[in-house]
Amino acid sequence: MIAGLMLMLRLAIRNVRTHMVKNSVIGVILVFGTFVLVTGATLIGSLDKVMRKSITTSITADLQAYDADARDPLSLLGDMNFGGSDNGEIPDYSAVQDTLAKVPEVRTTLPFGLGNATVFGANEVDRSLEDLRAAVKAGDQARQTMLVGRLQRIAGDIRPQLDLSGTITADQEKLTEDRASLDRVISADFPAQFAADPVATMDWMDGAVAPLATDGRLNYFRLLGTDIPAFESNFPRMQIVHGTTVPPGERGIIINESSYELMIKHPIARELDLIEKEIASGTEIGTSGTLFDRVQRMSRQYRRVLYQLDTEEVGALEPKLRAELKDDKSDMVGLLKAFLAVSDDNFSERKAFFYSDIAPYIRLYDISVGDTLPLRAFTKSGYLKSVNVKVYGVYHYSGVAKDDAAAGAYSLVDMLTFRDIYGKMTASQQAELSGIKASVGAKDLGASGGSIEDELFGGGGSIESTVASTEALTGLDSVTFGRAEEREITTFTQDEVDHGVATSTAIFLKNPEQAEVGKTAVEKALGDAGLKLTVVGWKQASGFVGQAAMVIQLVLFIAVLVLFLVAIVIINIALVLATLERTSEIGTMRALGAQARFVTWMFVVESQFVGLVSACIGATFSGLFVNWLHTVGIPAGNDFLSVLFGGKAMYPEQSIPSMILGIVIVQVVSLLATIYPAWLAADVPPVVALQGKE
Amino acid sequence: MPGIVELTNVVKDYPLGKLSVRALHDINITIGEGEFTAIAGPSGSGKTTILNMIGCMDVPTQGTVSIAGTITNNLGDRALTDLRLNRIGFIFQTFNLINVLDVYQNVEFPLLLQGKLSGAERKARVNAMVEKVGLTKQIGQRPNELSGGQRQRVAIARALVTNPAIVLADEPTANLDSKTGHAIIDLMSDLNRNDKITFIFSTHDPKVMECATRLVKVEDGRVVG
Repeated sequence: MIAGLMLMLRLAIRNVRTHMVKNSVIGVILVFGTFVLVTGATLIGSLDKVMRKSITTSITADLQAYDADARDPLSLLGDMNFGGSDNGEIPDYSAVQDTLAKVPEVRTTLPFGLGNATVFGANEVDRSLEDLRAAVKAGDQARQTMLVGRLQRIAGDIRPQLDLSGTITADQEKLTEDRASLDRVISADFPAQFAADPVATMDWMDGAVAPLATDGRLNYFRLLGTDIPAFESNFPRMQIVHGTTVPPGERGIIINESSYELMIKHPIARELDLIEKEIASGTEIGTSGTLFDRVQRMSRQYRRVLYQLDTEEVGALEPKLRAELKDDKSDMVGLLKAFLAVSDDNFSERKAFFYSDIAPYIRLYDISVGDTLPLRAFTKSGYLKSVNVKVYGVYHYSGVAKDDAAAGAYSLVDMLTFRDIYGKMTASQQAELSGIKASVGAKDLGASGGSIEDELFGGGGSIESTVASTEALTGLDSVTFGRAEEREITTFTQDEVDHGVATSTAIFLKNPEQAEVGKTAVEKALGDAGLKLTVVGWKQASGFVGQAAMVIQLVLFIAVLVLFLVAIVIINIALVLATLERTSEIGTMRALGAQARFVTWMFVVESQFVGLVSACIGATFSGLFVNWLHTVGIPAGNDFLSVLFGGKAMYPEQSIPSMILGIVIVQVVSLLATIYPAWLAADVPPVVALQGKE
Repeated sequence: MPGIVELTNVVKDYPLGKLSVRALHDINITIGEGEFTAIAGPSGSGKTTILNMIGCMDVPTQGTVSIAGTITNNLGDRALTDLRLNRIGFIFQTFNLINVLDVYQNVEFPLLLQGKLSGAERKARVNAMVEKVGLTKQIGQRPNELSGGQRQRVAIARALVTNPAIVLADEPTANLDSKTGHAIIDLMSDLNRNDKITFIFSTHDPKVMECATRLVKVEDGRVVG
């Protein structure tokens, strides 16, 4: 047996040497195929590993459980519905928490509540009036003078725009009134009018002048309600970069740094940052129409700077701008417009000047740590709900650039704030409501339409149907835009965090490497407890971003499949030709007493030998290549890849299983390619030995 | 006493499109153990077809072929192959050595297929056989490094190494010059005489026929003398 195998091997080696050219062609194809396969599998394995680490330690945890009847699948990153997905709800998170606390594979759980909210930024007149009220309250005369000057300058800037809009407006009476209001502010004796009665003047401005200014910016927040202190301790990549975390038991928000940079930063500063990024990627203002338009739009936003400057600040900034622009004639508006019309030649200097000389006079960020944000959102029942929440800090994920938009960009709020926005009452709120109902004698009419109508209007009459969204519209009418009044920050207990609605539960396993085992255990426990929840791993939970690895895997799989199909065809043809060449040799072997299966095995051993040698060479090349990549790193290149890589580069690691897999697959490919030629060879009749030539 | 080879009323037809061509007509041949038999006849007379029957590489359309007491008509491919391996040695007109193997390995090949002997026994048997055909010095050489006569000696050694009951040789001297051809026939004759090995060879060379102890003449698929 062993001698027979040795004979086959000897024949194989000798035949490989004899047919060196043919075997070299096959060998090169298999070496290349193995290299692609092993390198691809290693890179995908590494990507999968870094992605899992990056995403499970940032947002998804090892598993997520959510409502089995949800309309949309959970998609924590890359939501294709742009935040509008309906993931159903978990009516009482504590039921899930208590159930999973008994599962040995589970380390801990966290409640998640996904939501969206908007914050309307106040316009510059609103802001100046707010500052002016503070200065009046503080008796700061100098600041009052400066702020009145700023308001006069803003009014002066709005006046020509109002004249322009006068050519198209139909309400000439209102236009005349608005012109008179602005003229009053611009007039030389306005400071004296203000000094005579500051409060009345400010109230008048609130109603007559502030509405004429451009609206403030609308900031859009993706919110993740959770137990923030527990979130921080369980997601180690989360880092507070400004301010602090939200203290346990207090309401608050910590804003994601990418939201902070892309939405809350001063628009001019943000535009300069983005233009710099474009230039760094090789785009030129002079040649790129898109970038040129961007610069043009930025220069038209000069008011964003102008309106924030006091008289004194204008006095300080103007000479600097004149020196920078070498312009002695233009006024401040002209100077700012010219300054912001940057070009490839002066961009770096202008940006540096902006941050060193202009930024100190303006608010670089619309929202600061310590501010109270009036979050507004539509609740599940369609009401517009406004919740004031204190900004405690700004956070980011380590390794992800601060302006990367793809990082999920959730701002974290406490669960009670989330539930307020979501529209669900806590147990104590429900108890309070019940108390109020009882005290006023309110009666629950139930859900039956007919009986409600009878109770309210008396039975028998015909009732006109009502519009379903009336409540929502009523809610909308009651909203006042602008910065909401602060309200006292309420505290809450851990019990209140745990008891109430959540949209999903983040589940951390004791052994994240055994996610499938953990998932099965979790599913069983939830099923046994009668909780109808879908449990998903990090890839599904993260949505599009998490599934990118699967897409990359699929692409590689198809590429390798095509490569190996080509290899199979080429090897097959080469071996068929070899079989025809060796008909006499095979016939001789058969005549001498070799069974057909010996001939089959001889071909198989031969192709497996070529396959094994080629696969080992290919795997070795791949190992050397991956080793080199591990040293130099694969740069992320863009925001999306930074999220996948969990940083600016990926450093792939050698994977012995991938090498073994590559070698095994190549052996299988060689075997498949040998089946037909081996069958053909085994079918050669021994009689050809008497006919053939040596 | 029964012959080691018995062909009784053997007929062989080959299909040719919708027709069939009769290559052998009612052949009856009995060859006894230890005979040195030449099957002679012109090209196309049916010599090779008779050797195919005797060598278990083909089976008759009618009649029976018995090799060392085994009737081959109803045997399958595996049994026929086993019979060739264990009872028959082959010497081909074109030598048919395996080019990628050296002299030793070519001679060893049938023993490895048999798998009966240990490594040491195999080595002793191969070396003895190579020595018998006078190629000890060339034992490590590949076929393409040998002359025609040396290659045919290797083929003879390979045919004899398994101690077969019969050695078949199809025109063993056809590709050799007359001197070398005679040397090969002399070698075969010596082995027949000394070791009592049954040789059956086909030839159309009158000088080779003279060396045979028995001559079977074939013409148009019939035994004529």
